[in-house]
Amino acid sequence: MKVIKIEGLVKIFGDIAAVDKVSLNIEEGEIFGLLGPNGAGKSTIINIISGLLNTNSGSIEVLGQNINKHGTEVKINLGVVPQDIAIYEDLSAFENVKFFASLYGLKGKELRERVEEALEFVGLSDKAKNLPGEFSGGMKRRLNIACAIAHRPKLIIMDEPTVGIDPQSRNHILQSVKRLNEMGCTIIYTSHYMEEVEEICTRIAIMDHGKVIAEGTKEELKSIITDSNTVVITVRDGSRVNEEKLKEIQGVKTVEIDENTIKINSEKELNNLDKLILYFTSNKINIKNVESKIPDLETVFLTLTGRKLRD
Amino acid sequence: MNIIKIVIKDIKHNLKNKRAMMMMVLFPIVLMSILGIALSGVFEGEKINLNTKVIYSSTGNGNLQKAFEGFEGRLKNIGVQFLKTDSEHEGINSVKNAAYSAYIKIDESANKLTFYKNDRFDFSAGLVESALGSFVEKYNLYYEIGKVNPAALNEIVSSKTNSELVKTVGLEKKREPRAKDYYAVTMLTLIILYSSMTASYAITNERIRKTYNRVLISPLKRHEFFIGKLLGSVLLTLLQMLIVILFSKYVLNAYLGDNLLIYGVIILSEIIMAVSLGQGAAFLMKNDTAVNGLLNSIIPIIVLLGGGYFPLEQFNSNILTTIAKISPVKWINDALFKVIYGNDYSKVLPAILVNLTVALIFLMLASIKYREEKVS
Repeated sequence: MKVIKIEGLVKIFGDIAAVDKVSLNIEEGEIFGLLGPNGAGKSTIINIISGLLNTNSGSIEVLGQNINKHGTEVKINLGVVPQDIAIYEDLSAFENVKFFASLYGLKGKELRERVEEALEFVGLSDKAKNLPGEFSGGMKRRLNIACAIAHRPKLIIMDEPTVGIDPQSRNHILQSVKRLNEMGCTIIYTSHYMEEVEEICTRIAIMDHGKVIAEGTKEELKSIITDSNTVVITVRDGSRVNEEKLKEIQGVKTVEIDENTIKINSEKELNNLDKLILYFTSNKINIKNVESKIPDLETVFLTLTGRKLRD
Repeated sequence: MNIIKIVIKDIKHNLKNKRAMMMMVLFPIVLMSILGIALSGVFEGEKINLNTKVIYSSTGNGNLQKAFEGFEGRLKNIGVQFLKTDSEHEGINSVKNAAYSAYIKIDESANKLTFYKNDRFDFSAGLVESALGSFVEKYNLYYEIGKVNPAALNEIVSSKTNSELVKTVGLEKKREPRAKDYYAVTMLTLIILYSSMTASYAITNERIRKTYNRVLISPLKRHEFFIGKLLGSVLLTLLQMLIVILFSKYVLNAYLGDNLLIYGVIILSEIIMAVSLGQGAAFLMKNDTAVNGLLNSIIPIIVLLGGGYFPLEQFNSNILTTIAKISPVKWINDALFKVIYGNDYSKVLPAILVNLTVALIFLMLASIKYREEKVS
C-alpha cells in the first residue's frame, strides 16, 4: 500500500521553485530518506504534506486520501517531528506530550497511558515532571519526538531530528526510529547527514534545487557511480595540493580537499592511480597514506551535483 | 472541546509566568494603594471638590425657587459655584462656551426645571445633574403631599428626619470619590489595556517556541486555535482583574457603587477589547518586538486621553475633550463613574459598544491575516 503518493508537485516562493515537479511514492513500512543540502526542498515537501503550505500544482495523497479534501483524517494518522524543537519550556515533559496528544482526540486514562508510553519510548520517563529548561539538547530532541508519537501515528515525518546533538543522543534517536518502524510505522526521514540516512533508511531520494535527482535503495544509488573509483590520499601538507591540476589528470571526475586528506573520484575503467601518485611525487608533496574507498552517498551526491551535501 | 484545551493550556502558561502575574495583579494593586494614599489630600478626604460653575435663571420667586436655593446651598459645600442670570440666552451660551459646566432654567409658572450641560465637564456636570435629579424627586414628593395635606407637609419639613422619607439616588446620599475610589477605577481600566500584551504574547510565544506550526499540523481546526487563544486571554485577564477588584473593594475599601454586575459587564467589555487588540496586533505584525513597541506606544496615550492618570477636565480645552473621545478608556471611565456615583446608566451601552466595535475590527483584521498565513 502506498502511504504517500506525490505527483508533479510544484511550490514556488517568489521566483524560486522550492519544489519543482517532484513525484514520489512511499510504501507502507518503509523508512524513506529525503537527503539533500539545506534549501534542497525537503522541508517544503514536509510542510506541504503536513498541511502548513499550499501547493502551486500537483497532487498529494497520504494514506490513500487527498490532503486537501481530507485534511483532518490525514492529520490524525500523521506525526511530525519538526526540525526546530517545538515544546513549551514552562510546561513539564508530561504536560507537553499530554497537550499535543490531546489535540489528536485522546483523553482520560488512554491519554495518560499514551503519554507515559511515549516518554518511556524516548527514555524520559524519569524526567516526566521536569521542565524542558532543565534538559540537555539531546533530551529536548527526544521530548520533541515524544510529542509527535504519543497518538500512535501510522506515518511519522522526522525533519532533521538529530541536528546539534551529542553522539549518544543521536544514536538513541536513530535506534528509536528503527524501533518505531519495527512497530509498524512508516517513516520519512530527512537529513543532510548522509551517514544517518545510509544507516537507517530502506529507500532514499536525493534532492537538490527542489528536484529529486536520484531515488532508490542505497545500493541502487551507489550503483549509479559504480563506474567510479574513489581514492583517498593523505599527505603531509594539503595546502600545497592544486585541486585544478588534479582534475586535469585523465579520468578524474571530482576532487575534495579536507586539510591533508584528498578524496579523488575517477572513472573506474581508467586506472589512473600511477598518474595521481606521480602528481604528488613530482610536486614533492609527501604521501602518508593511500586507500581505495567504497563509494558512499556523499560521493553519489557529489557525483550527481558537483557539490558536497554540506556546502 | 479543542478550544477548551487551548484555553486551559494558555491559562496554565500564564499562571506559571510570575512576571506577567506580578505585572497584571500586583502592579495595579500597588499603584492604586500608593496613589490612593499619596493623593488623598487632592481629593479632600471624604469630601469631593467639584470645583465647577453652574449658571441658572429663574422666572419667579415661588416655592420652586425657594426650594432650589436650599439645593444651591448644599452644592456650594462641595465646590459648585452658582451664578444667577436673567437671560436664558446667556445661560445657554455660557454653557456652550464652556464658561460654565451647566445651566439650570427654573420655570416657576410651569413648575419645571430644565438642565443643560457641556460634555467637556462630563464628570462634574454629571454629578450636578444627578444631584438635581434627586432634588426634583424630593420636591415632587413634597409638592404632592402639600396639595393633599398641607399640615402634614409642615410637619415633614420641620422634622429633622425628613430626608429619610425620600430615597435619594443622587449626590446627597452617596459616597463621594476619594483618591482611592478614583484610582481603584482608573488603575483597573489602565491595567486591563496591558492584557493586550498578554494576548499578543500568547500568539508570538507560540511562534518563538516553534509550537505554532506543531499545533496547526494537528487535527485542531484553525478557528479553534484562534478562538481558544482569545478566550484564554479573556478568562485569564478576568481572573486577574477579579483579584484586583476584590482587593480594591475589601482590602483598600474603595467604593465601587451598588451595581457590581453592570460594573463587571463594562470591565468585561474592556477586557475583550484589549485582548482583541493584542491578538490583532500579533497576527498583523508577527514580530514580537514590533508588537510590544506598538502596544507600549499606544496604551499610555489611550489611558492619558481616558483620564486614567488625571482628569482632563482641568485643562478646559475643547480640542482635548474632542480628541479624548477616540479613547475607549474615556468611554469606560465615564460610564463607570456615572454608574458608581450617580446610578446613571446612560453611558454604559455606548462604552460597551465602543469596546466591542474596536474588538470586532481587530479580530476581523487578525482573522483575515490568519487565514492568509497558509497560502505562502
